Amino acid sequence: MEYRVTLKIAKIAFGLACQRKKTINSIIKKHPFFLTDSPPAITAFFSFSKDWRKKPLGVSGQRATSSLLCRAEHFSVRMDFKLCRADFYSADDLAVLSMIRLLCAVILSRRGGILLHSCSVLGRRGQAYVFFGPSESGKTTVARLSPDKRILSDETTAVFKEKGRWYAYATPFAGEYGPARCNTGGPLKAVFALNKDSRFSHSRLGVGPASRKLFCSIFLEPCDDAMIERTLGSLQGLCRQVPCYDLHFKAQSRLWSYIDGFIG
Amino acid sequence: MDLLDKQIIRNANIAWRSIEGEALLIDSRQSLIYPLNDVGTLVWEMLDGKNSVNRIIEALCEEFQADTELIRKDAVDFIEGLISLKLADLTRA
Repeated sequence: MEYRVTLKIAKIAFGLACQRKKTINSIIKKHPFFLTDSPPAITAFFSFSKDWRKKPLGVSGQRATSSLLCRAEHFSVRMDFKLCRADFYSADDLAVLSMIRLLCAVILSRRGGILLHSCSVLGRRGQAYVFFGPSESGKTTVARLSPDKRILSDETTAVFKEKGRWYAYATPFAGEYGPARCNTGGPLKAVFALNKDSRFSHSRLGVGPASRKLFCSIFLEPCDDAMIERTLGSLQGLCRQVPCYDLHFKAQSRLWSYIDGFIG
Repeated sequence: MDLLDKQIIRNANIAWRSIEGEALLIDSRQSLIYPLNDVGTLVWEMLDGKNSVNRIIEALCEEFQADTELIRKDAVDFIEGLISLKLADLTRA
């Protein structure tokens, strides 16, 4: 018997199917804000077995556009974009959220978007601010310093373009701050590369430097060169339209008055 | 290695894109990123397997006001570096 649920992330419906009821029930319980009745754009089938590493994935051309094969540390996957299907193989469901995140990253990439290792918040006018950087750069700190703002995520933000404008959206892939409390997003006002410091300062980044910094914060399993090149193109487009800043900050409540002072 | 009359070609397995005149090379197998400056990008874009190293040096001399010998040395060093990192290789005759 197969159990199913559909999650809507960044306006894309991802169907999830598994023969373990416990796995699907856990997803339902942990991510209530992302549940949807919408028909899925793609469905992921999860199979768990001790022999998962021996599962043949088939052969994919280096730059095949209709399928994608990927072997990660704890799972492997074959995605068939014509059939709108992804088959994940793993020993158990411990990495199921990582598998869903990979699927989300790939589908977003194919649609010109990116999944960014970042904190994101909605400002008072519903505009989104994204703060990115490696672990310990201050993403969760920024979330904690934003009690009067809606937190989209403290760990993973979906960024995509719609009708000529860039948006940032919440995802279920959370960090220490806790699971997402909303499934929403807003037009992207600015992007910040985070640096913890003893004082506040900022500088505007050019398209090239901003794209390079952002690339290092993208969730993208290195399994497809065409996807990498497409992602670089998306980044270039994003950085041309949305101002990107290098932001040095102190962990103080003054953070937002500092940002408002130069963003406006 | 005497490269001057050799033709060099980019490794087809390296994803790359030029953004505002500066290329970013991604070696997905090694999970390595190589950012190039504007000069390195000009060289990289000419590594299509048809341009000899001498031709590349001529193009650099036309583009930049600098000592020809210095340009030659820097270009050869750079291309040798790309080859040693397996980002480029000699074309097969």
